Amino acid sequence: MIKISNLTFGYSRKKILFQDLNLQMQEGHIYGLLGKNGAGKSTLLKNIAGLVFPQQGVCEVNGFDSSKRLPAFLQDLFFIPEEVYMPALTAAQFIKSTGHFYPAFDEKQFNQMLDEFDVPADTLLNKLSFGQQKKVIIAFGLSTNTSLLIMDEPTNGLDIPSKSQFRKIIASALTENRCIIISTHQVRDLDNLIDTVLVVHQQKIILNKSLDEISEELKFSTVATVGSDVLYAEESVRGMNTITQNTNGSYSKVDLELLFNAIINDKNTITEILNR
Amino acid sequence: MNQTFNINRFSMLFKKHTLENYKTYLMSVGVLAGLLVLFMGIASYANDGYLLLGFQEAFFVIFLLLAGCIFTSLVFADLGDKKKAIPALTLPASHFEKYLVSWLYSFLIFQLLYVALFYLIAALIISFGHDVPGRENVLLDLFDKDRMAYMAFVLYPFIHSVILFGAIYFEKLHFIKTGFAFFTGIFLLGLLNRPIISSMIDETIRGTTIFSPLDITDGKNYWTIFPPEIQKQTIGIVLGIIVVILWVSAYFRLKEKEV
Repeated sequence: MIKISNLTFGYSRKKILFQDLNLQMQEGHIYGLLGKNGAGKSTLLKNIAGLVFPQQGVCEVNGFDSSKRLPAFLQDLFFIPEEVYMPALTAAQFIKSTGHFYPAFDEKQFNQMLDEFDVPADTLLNKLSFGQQKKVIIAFGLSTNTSLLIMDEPTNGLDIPSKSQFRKIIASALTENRCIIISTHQVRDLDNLIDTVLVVHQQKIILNKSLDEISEELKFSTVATVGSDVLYAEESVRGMNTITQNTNGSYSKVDLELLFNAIINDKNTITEILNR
Repeated sequence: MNQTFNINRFSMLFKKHTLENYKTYLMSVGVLAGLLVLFMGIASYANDGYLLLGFQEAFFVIFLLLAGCIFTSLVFADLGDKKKAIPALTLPASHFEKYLVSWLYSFLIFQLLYVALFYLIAALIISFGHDVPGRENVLLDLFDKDRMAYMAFVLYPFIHSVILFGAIYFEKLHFIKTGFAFFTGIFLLGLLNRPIISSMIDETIRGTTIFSPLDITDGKNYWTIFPPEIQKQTIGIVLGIIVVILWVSAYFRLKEKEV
């Protein structure tokens, strides 16, 4: 579905953000895009959506070159930015003015999601709080039923109950024809939601693995003392959270935050194991 | 479905733009109407209810160009605001359709509304005034050859194309930056005009500005050389080409817009 080939991008010729980046993403997955501040998560998403253009290489979505922004490409993609803008319209007016640009837009689905998010339907959207505006645009983006849904820091501005609703709604919106990409620096917000982890670090995608693949290779556990086989450890109130190599095929839940910190701080060992 | 222009998609975009902006546009029309009433009302009051054709002509041209400039400079303002630019650029319509909506509103619809508004207000003010003996209080005839009001429609495309290009080229303060760039360009062209002409003519040049007759000194004689009539048409054609180039450039700038 998404094919990025030899992509080089920088906001100026001297400061390159991505160098010769290659990446493929498929339908039927929810990708979690992780990276430190300034690593280029939003920029990568913008390259995919055709909002910025690569200096070299190409980014294709469903066979369309993103940078051309053709209507056929745009009507099968919805991008939810970190900061949203809503016009001075009610939700009903907004779907009337914008919904029909997306062939698979489902009005009933949109209204149901607004109900679940507890957003008033008759208030002007620009008068809603930031969190509520975000919920409206998330509900709208999901109701467009585009094959690609990109969300840049979608949980920013959501309260705790809304984050849980968000996870539930996203999980229910995934179909085998749809690809959802969520970027965040709040790694815990993606717990129990994503099935594939992408990590952007130092101009490269250093990890692109499903959680199943990760748990096949690595074991996440909390122990009292750190043994010699530990690849990475962090102190917590319950003891030491550790990552060890999974040599006996046992299952453990992937601790995304621990994995992310391990990759960023001790990149080579962990990524070599995962990428071998 | 055609990826450059589709009438259904275009009409959806036009309706969306209208629905989201009509309140702002109506308020702008209100402000413009207020200014026209104020200025033409004062002019009429100061002349015992007689609205001079010269005043009507001046107000018509000045307000058309000024209001048109301000309005046009704002038609792509959303693209300078990251929050608004992302939904605008990812909306499933072609760049040409998005450009055409802005062009229609700032060029065609603006001029039609302006002419209607101007005549409505001028007619109202004239109806409140009265005829001065020996002079009939009449409305301006835009196509009166003795007057130059129609020149506003010749100037407007040029001004519009410059401002439209500036509106998409600059991210912020479109009106001021475009005006600054335009006048800087004119100033530099004016400065270069004299050395360029000097390099082509041996006689001493007394003074010259762009697109104007040439004053030269030949011994003790002074001459003013007027361009032949055919060259006036050439200037018109060159300006027309510049207008088209700027309109097309603005479209390509929109295609290349990044956020």
